[in-house]
Amino acid sequence: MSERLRTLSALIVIGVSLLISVLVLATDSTGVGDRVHSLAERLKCPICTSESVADSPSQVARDLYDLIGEQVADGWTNDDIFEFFVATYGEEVLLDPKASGVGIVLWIAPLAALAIGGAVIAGRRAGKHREISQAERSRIATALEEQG
Amino acid sequence: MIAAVGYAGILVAGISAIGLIVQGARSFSGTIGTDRLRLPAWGIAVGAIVAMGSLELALLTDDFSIEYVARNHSRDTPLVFTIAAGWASLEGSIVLWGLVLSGFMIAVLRSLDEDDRSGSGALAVMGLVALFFFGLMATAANPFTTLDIVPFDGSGANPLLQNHILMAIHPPMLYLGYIGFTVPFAFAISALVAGDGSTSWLQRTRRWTLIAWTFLTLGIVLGAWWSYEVLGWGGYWAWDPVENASLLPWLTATAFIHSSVVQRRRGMLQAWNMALVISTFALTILGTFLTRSGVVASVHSFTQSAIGPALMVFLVLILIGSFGLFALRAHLVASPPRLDSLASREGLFLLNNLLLAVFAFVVLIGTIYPLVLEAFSGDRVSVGAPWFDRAAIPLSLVLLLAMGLGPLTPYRFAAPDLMWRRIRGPLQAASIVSVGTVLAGVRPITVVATIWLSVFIVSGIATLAHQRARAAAAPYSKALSSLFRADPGFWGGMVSHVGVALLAIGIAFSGSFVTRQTIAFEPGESALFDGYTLTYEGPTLRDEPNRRVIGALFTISRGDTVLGTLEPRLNQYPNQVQPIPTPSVRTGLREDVYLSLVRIDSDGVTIDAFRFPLMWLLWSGALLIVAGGGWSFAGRKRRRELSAAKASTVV
Repeated sequence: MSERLRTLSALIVIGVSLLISVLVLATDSTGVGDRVHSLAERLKCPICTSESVADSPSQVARDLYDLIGEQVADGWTNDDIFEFFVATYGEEVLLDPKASGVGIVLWIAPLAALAIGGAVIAGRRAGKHREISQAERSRIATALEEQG
Repeated sequence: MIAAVGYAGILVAGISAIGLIVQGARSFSGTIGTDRLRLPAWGIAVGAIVAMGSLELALLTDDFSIEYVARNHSRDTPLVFTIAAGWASLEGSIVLWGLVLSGFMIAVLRSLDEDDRSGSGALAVMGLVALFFFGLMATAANPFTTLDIVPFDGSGANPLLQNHILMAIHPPMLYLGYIGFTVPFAFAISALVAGDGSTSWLQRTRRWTLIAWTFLTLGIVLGAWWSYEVLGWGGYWAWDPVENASLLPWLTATAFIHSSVVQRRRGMLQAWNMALVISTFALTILGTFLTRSGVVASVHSFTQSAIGPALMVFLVLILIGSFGLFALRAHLVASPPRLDSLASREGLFLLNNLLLAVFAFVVLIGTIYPLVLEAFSGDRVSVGAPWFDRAAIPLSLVLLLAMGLGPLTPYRFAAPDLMWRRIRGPLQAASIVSVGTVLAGVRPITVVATIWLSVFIVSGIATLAHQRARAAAAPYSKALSSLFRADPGFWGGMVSHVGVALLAIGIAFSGSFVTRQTIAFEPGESALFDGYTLTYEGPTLRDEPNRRVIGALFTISRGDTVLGTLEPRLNQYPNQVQPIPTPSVRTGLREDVYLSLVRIDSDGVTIDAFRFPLMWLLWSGALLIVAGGGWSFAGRKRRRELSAAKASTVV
């Protein structure tokens, strides 16, 4: 197979696969998983050190898990449920802190680290494009003359 | 008697550490030869062996006059947990720390030449670290404190620790990893003090770094496995501060392993490598502080013993001392920037380092911010799995992409047409497999992306091996196997990369397609769980020397085929009211069925049933990562011996 044919067939295979994947995934109507469980994963079991309501084997966690189930069945929104838990147990019940108040640091710091790190690498790259000085030019020229 | 001997061992080791610092510094400045370091280094080792040996002897002979033995051992404790009790609790774990550190020091000592200034300096730095730990043992964390009133029996080990054999192996593996990073750290500090800009510190410590990294990886994997097989909460990783403490140095060490390749190949990144090694070492001390001071359970409890503050002061001294030194002298050792283009192997290594460093930073912030906040302002905030996942998943996906491209990308500059020729095969393989899984019904997009990236990584490596073997003169299969022997550093790394790809698929599948159900049974009753039929046969009860085991016997079947029995248990230990559950796991090619006992009485049982798809892929991927690390230093060693043997025949 010629080089051009290989490139063409590769592009077709990759393009068609991508197209099918995107079409299937975009028109997908499968429901969002288990809402009760994903809510329980985001709330801390109030009597535990760091376990979530979903993971803790304690009776308190099991009761709260059932409570979340009832709230979901009663048509509460996610925000309603979070608000209820914060009102009852305080902000620390949220395992995924809000991007406000004391939790703001947890949102800004990682993004800042990524930005600073990226800037440093980009800076290294830019620093490399240094013009050679006039002195260096003449040195190179003399060296070439001596060679020639 | 045993207590006195053990304590004497600690003192001998501590005094020898002072000797090693002094002699190391003198040898570093050239006044004496390295042969004078032998005595203090062996003094530390002998002292550490005596201390650990005495502690084990006291445990084995039921010497309850020693408080540590009385607290962590009882006459009923089985032999293996008696031995493991030597490092299961705080004071003993620090003795083990000292012993492992002294072992690394002896190994470094044996690698020294007669006149070896950087090695002497490194040993002096290790002596400083040893002095801290043996000083801790002699004072705040003395394992040989005796009791005035000797109890007849001890209270026994923490039930969680004596519940499974893994708890005897997991900590030593982790320690071998943690403490191993003292070696590259010590050599880096020595090079900084000397202002030595050569790469000898890096080359000399490469094997140590690989050994430490491999054991640390194994330690983390064993910890995760223990969490899954023993704890019974239905998971293997919870972003718990104690788990994060082991992941943090792993992330920076992994960054270092990659960036040290850039330095060896292209002479770049010397100062950055030193910063990574210092960070890794500091993070191991931070990890020890987090796990050993009780600060995680409560910010305010860690001052109850003097160990927490001592570790904290040591950590601060390390940070100030080493980064201070780094700030003052890094310009002496820094390598010139030689990056020709970001589109190159070096560029991808930089991307890898950026992502791993940010990853480590994210885990660090999420772990310590709640502690710092509460300590200083009294406000409480919880940072849990949802927060960590949101950062970890995108970072990991981009890391996987860099991992797929890296080995296929040339150094200096990757010309687009060359790159295209190299990646089009893997790209096609990845696209075909992932569209197949999409059509088979796999969702969501993160799982599909993981599959795509994993196939890309594995097929890229396979292509590389295939091309190299085909280009070689030898027959194909022979060329393929000699490839792995010829360059163990690179191909060991590739084995680890394949492991990471499998691990990623395992994590994505077991996490996304887990099903869970809480089911109550009466005796003899059956229930359907996700295509399986579970039948509760009845309760079991047996007394073991150290515990009472209450189990629930289930038969598991699919259709008419009986697949086997499962017996989730509750273990009742005499020294704790709350029983410790042990789940029962049936591992299969498609999925694990995992039962955990919640409640049991004469009327019936309640269990949590889980189905985790492709868990075996997760564990075998993890072990492959360890195997790759092992191969990269074991193969390397053999090559060195080989060349040494050649040199001797020439003479």
